[in-house]
Amino acid sequence: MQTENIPDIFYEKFILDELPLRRYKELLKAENTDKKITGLKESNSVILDKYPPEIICRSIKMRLKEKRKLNKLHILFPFFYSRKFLLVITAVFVLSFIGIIQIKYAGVSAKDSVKSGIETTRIKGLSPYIKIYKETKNGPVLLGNNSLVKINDILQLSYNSAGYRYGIIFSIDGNGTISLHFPEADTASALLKTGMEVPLPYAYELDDAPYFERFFLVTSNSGINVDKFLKYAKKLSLSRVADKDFNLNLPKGFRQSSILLKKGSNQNE
Amino acid sequence: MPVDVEDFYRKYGPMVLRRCRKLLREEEKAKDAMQDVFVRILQNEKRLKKTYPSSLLYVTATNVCLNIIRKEKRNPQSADEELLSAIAGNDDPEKQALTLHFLDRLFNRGEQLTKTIAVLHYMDKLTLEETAEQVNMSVSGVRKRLRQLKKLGLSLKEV
Repeated sequence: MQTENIPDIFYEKFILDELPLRRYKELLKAENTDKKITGLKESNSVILDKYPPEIICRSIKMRLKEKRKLNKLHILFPFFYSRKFLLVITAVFVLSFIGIIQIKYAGVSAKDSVKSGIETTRIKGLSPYIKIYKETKNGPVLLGNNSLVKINDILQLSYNSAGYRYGIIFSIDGNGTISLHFPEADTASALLKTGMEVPLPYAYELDDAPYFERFFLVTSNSGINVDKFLKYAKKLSLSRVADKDFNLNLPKGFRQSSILLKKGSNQNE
Repeated sequence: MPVDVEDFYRKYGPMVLRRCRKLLREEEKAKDAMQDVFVRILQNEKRLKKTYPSSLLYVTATNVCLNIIRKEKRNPQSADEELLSAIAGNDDPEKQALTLHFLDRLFNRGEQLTKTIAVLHYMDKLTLEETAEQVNMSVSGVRKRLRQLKKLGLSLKEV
């Protein structure tokens, strides 16, 4: 039997010891089976080294938790997940959101947060951007560049990928500490969600780091090596990061957007 | 059947990733899809049987990747990709949207299964009997579903 005629699944089952005896014998007789099996075993080691179980499983468990939460809501409120309801609620949300933002936050537009990039935008008229909302007793307040914030402020980040597929959101504080906000781990996928405004699943509480916290969104269509990016960010000089006109030195094909928040005791609500 | 996630991943993760890589041809997407496969399996762990789960994981990986390909509507760059795109896109997008997040497709024997059968048979070159074995169906059931696909306008050659 020619090896190329044997579907991959049979070799996979062979090394998992899950192949029925009849097929097992067939495979043993086939040409190049040993080579194929050795190749798969080597590939197993490479994959488990590259994507270690403890890290991947943490990510899987988090996704599972989110899914279960959504499923619970779906079971409890099936009506709310009907298509008509979703269409109506989306339309209402979009219209209200535009109206509220225009009235309440006049003067703080997405442009404030969008820095120039190298590539042209994927969606006409729209560049990727992040937005930061601060939780206050009167509800969330949208922050712009140079907004004042203080220790223990709770921030909610959201982004619009503008059609870009991959992205990383991180911040650098006045101590030079880098915090990764998206993806959730430096080995997790940086695949962005599409949508008008995608909130990150968790809010962020500011610590006592002095002077500033600068948030960056970097997007690309060709994938992002998060670990490499964070290493690059660690090397940046703090005085440059604190300058709101400073841009990251990015390779071709990447775009960036950032918001600089200043640490202080005054509030900017 | 309760599952120890780490043991499960250690044993089946590489197989699932290889499957996703083959169908998606992009490392980041394949890694993402692989995690989704495990999430789907674990969502239904109580319904998992103690028999060897490799077929279920392989079929689920195929499902997940087909969904990704359909959503992307990517331009095929090879005959295999053309075939995949044709299979992935061969349904009513409105129906898909309805089930996007919440329908448990893994154990739902709907159109998704037909597409998976098509990939196993036409792309992976499994015979009708082997395909039936993978998806735990009768050969006549598999044949019937492939006939349905053809009725929908997909012109494919029998293996």
